[in-house]
Amino acid sequence: MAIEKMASLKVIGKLHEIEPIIKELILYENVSINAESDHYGNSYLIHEYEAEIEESSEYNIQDYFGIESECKDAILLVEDISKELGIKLNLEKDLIEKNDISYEQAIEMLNNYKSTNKKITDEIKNKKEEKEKLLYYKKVMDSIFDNSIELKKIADLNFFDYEIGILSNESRVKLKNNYESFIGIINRIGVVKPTAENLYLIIYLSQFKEQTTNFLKSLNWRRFNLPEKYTGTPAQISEQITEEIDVLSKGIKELSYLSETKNKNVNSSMNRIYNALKLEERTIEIAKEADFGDNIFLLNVWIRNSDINNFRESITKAYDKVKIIEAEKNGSSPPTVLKNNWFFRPFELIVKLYGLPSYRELDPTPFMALTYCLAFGIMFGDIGQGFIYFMAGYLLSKKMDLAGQLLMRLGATSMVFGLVYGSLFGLEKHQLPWLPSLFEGGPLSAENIPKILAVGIAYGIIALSGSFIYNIINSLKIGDKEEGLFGKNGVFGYLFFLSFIFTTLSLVGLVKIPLYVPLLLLVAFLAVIVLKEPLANALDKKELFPHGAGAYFTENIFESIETMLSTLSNTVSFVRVGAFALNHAGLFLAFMIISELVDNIVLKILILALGNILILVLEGLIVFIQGLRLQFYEMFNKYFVGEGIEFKSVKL
Amino acid sequence: MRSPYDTHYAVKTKITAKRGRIFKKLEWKKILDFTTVDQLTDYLKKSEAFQDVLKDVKNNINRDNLEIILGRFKTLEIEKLLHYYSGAYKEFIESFLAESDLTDISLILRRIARNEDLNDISSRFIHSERFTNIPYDKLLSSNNVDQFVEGLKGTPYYNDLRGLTDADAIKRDFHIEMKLYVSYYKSQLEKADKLFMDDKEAVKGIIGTKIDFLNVLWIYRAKNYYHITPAEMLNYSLEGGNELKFHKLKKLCFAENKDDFNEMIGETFGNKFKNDLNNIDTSLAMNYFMYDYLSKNVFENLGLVLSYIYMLDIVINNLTAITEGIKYRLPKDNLKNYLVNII
Repeated sequence: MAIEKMASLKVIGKLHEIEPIIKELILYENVSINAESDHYGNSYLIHEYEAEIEESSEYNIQDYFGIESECKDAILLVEDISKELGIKLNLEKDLIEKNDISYEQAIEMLNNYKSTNKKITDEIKNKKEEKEKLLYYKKVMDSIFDNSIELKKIADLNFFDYEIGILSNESRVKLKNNYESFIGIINRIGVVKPTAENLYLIIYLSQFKEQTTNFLKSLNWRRFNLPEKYTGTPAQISEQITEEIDVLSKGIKELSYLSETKNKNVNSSMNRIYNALKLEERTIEIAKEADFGDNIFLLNVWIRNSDINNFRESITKAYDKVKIIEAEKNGSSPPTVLKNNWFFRPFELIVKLYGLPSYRELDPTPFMALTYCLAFGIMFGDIGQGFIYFMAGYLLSKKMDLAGQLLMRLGATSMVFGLVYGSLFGLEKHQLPWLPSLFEGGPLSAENIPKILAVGIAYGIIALSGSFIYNIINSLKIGDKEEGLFGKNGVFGYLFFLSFIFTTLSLVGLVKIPLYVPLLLLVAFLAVIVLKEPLANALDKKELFPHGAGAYFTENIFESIETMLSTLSNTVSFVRVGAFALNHAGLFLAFMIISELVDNIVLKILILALGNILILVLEGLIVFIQGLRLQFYEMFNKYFVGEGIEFKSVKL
Repeated sequence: MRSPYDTHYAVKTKITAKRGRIFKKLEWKKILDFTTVDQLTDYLKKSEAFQDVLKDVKNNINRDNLEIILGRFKTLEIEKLLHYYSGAYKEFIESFLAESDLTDISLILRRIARNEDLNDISSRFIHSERFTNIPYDKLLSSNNVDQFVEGLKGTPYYNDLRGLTDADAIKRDFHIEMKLYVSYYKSQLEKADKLFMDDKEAVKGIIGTKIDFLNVLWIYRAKNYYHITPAEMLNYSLEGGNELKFHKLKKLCFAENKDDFNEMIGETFGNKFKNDLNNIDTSLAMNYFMYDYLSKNVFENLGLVLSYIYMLDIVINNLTAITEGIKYRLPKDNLKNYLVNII
């Protein structure tokens, strides 16, 4: 129930073994690269180990940037080819483990594939383009209204030229408006689908060629050029084209078949190439983080403390010259791995929504889980509805494990509090006398309402006390006395908070102590909070007001007013826990009353079921969010920074 | 969508301030006394209105560069206005940014058609990088006009330029300009249709007036310089004008001689415009008229924004004219004739 202890390791090995060693790190799957390493310290170490790890100096540091771009291009190519052939690429750890093929082999296989298949793929591409063109000709031919006209005959006219082309409907209107100024014959001969553009035949005197062309240009005329080899009527031409299309389609099919049979094993080989390339890509990414000597490399990694021996063993077993040194982690920021038991683990989801705890911070998950469950239970206590959440969580956990588990826990707490309230799907003891309950009358009875609201406040006092304690520990752990002891969320902040509670209790007569006692303490503790910086400086024997007393007091007196207000608002804020418990019962009561207005038993059940659905969907969500609000705003604000770095283990 | 009525008052305050900075605080009399472009640039750098866009500009700029900077200034001003709007209103204001796209598209296309170098071209762009839908990278990688047009696939301008040849791009550059503008105004008017009635009427009124003048300018230039047939003139004209609907437009295109043309212009737009059109630069004549039109009408709706955008054009033209005047050492009194009602 904490944050996993981390170790900073330096892996030092022979330069020519860098790639296989990195591969081991990748396969180990529990190592994170430390990118902010101490290069100065590393060069000292490299110097120290250079002589110890013997190595011929022939091996040079690779041009990782060059290989990286070649590798990335190759991956893109493999992905393209696979997409075209419908191959699904998978990362397979087995292939890597058994040293399937090297990066160089992968590149060679890919080049071979390219050279043998290029001719066929190019041919297929050309044929497909040719087919597209023919389909367009056919579409235009088929669009002609009168499929018995012979275009060739128009072409044979001596003094006339002709053009066939396409006009949009907009241009057609413009053309119509200009008919009288055009010297020639305009004939709309068809409508091309699916754009519904118009096919026109324009015949004009040859001497007006330039004028006509310019006029047509002003209309966005798109000339239709049918190759001369097609003769006859549109119907005949369409038939000729269809035949050509058939021949092309057959050709494409044959070529595709040829390529498929030729590449029968392409599926598995593409996957092998892909895995080798991906491994290389990852390896280079990691190698770029290494420091290099003449013969050796040094890589900084983070690993779990508990993993050190296992890791050392698995690397040195294969590479006996590798040195693995544990480094100081002072001054660095180790990554965070949360380690919680089965009950608390799902609540990490909620903590991560706010931020990951930093390595030196207390993991808030257990405290958060307990207080969140408690608040949810108080606000949404019902055996039946809790059971539905529990089951929904169970089903959800098959798809989204942690989210489902979380819902199951919330459902279970809801059921427990259902037993406290004596509520089953909103029905209470007076409807179902056999229901167990801890107190009589249900939450909405007059004598219980103040009690439930008070429970909310009591819950708040406990939750806030926990938050204060967490903050005190967190601050003192990093040596921040000012915040941990004298700050508004530190020891004196907590004492101020307690004095505030006792002042209130004394005011309402619940505690029999004279009012001035807690009131005097309240003022005294507030004064300490105002003086937090000089007090902390006095403890450290430093100058009391390094930035001047005037500015300090102006700022801190305002802050103390804010402290007073926020203490009040923080505490009152928890009334909502009780209020939502009442709201939960109240919402159902509304449906109960409606159901009592009808006599039909089926209708009654329907109304109550509807009420339950509404409560489950809407109110459940509201309670979930209100609980989050209390955690994030009232509590995390006090003690949790959440600036941790995630432990990202290198994987394929 | 935020209510356009709420937004109006926020924008009105903003635009009143902006207009003040651009029209009132710039001391045009002082500007006219400058004898070098550097003096003008320095002055603008210190002005509240232009300091943002000029802050990284070194001295020694010429008319061309200043025109680019002012083009960017307009783009920036429109982008700033967009913050106030959402939904159909935002789309409508955004459509004004497309004009700078058209300038840049034409620039690339001209260079490609003439086989000129494209290396430094992006430094001349004025379009909004945030709001453009034009695939500039693709356009810049084209080797010929065909590839360029194919690069426009998926944009509203593809159909307008389909079938364009190298020769068209060089000899008939009006073809490119007019075809692109047809799409630009068409899409702008379509977007205006989605606005509330009051705003729609105001903006369609303003855009319609602008379209009228662009058409007159086009026909005037076509008749005087391009020597193309009236039918072509009509086909290239823009739709959506206020005064020049189809039949009037057609009559204007088919006017047999200059007198008939002038008479029609006088009847429709008044004698001042007729005289301006024949005596001074045609764009200047249009700006004179637009300035009058926009100053006389007070808009309590989206028309205010449009009027501001069109006024920016006029200021930009004035500043460009002054740069040119400085370059050719035009006497101050002569130069004044090229500026629109600011002094």
